Amino acid sequence: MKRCNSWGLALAVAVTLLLAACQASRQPTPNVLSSKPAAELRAMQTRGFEIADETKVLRTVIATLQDLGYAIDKVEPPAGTVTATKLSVLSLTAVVHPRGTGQTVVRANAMVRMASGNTQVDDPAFYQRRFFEPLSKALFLSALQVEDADEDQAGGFIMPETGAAQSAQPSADETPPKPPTGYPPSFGHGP
Amino acid sequence: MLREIFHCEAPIRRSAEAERVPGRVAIKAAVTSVALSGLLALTACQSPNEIAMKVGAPPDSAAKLRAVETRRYDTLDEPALLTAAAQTLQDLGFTISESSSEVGVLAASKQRDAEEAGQIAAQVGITLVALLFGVAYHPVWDKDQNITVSVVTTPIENSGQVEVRASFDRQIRDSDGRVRPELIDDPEIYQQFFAKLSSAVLLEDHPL
Repeated sequence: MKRCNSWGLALAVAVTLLLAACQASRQPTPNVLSSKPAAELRAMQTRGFEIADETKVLRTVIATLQDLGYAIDKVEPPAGTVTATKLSVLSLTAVVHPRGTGQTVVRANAMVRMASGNTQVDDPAFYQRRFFEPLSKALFLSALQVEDADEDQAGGFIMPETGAAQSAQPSADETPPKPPTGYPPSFGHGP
Repeated sequence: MLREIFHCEAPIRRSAEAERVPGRVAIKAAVTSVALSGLLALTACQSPNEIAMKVGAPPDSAAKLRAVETRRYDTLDEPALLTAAAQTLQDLGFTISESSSEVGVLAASKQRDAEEAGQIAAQVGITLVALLFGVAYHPVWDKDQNITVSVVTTPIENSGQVEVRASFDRQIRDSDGRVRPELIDDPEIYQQFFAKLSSAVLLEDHPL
């Protein structure tokens, strides 16, 4: 009787293990997020535009994504979000929200589908050249770097003319402005 | 070269050609498989950022594609156009997966068979030739496809017109279960869609 019980137990364990194996294989692989600091990621993913019409910006974001060959997956105009995928490999979510008066901020986040799970894109050049440059061309507006320190304050954009965050500095000297380090120098492209 | 390969895989052309010169198709299919496996191998050793940079690049012929995908209608009724587009897509067998009239967006998809007699015959041909030379060859052919479409409407300022842009793309699954995505740039498919849409809204469409 006891022997029978132990056999039963062994069988139960074996079956549980088998089931567990099935379970594990079905679980989706977790997203691989960037190891870069949050502030750096936010800066490369965010641009401001001198325009108050949030819906127009959202529409332009959608048009830009379609022009780049993305297929639209989800749109939520009240929340200002759009998610699109290109060739089943690259997916991009953009969030459009107003900031202060007369300004709209766009934040984009891209993920690449890899065998090891969806991996976040953390290359500033990708966001600049593959998203914000075409977007600012479509909007006929310059994409402005958003100053990270005072995210909540209105007017925290770094104007491409002055280039530097320290706007208090006298701009009398004729030296060309230097963009913040870590970002492509070609930011602020407009027509 | 890649474009050419992708292009010759369009269902109609492939099967028509297969009837005429099966040998040529067999060679083309072999070249395709080699090119595709090469692409896959390249993708494998790239970092996510490199893949994003490459995949995220605008399509080669962005301006041409835009012209193929876009029509203008003399109306100000954007929601009506969107409704007509939804009905047109349903007529074509698509399932609507997302719609938002506030920003003029419509997304839909459908599953279709991708098997073509020509391609399968070519693969069998290669297998037999390989067998003759004592080489093992595993035949692969397209099995089914998932077609997705994004329709975006945009009112054109001060012109009394609404622009409609439809982009079709598809993910083809082969007999080994591998998925190959591609943008559809065949003008005929777009002409058919816009012809149906025009008759649904009783309006004439204008190219860009």
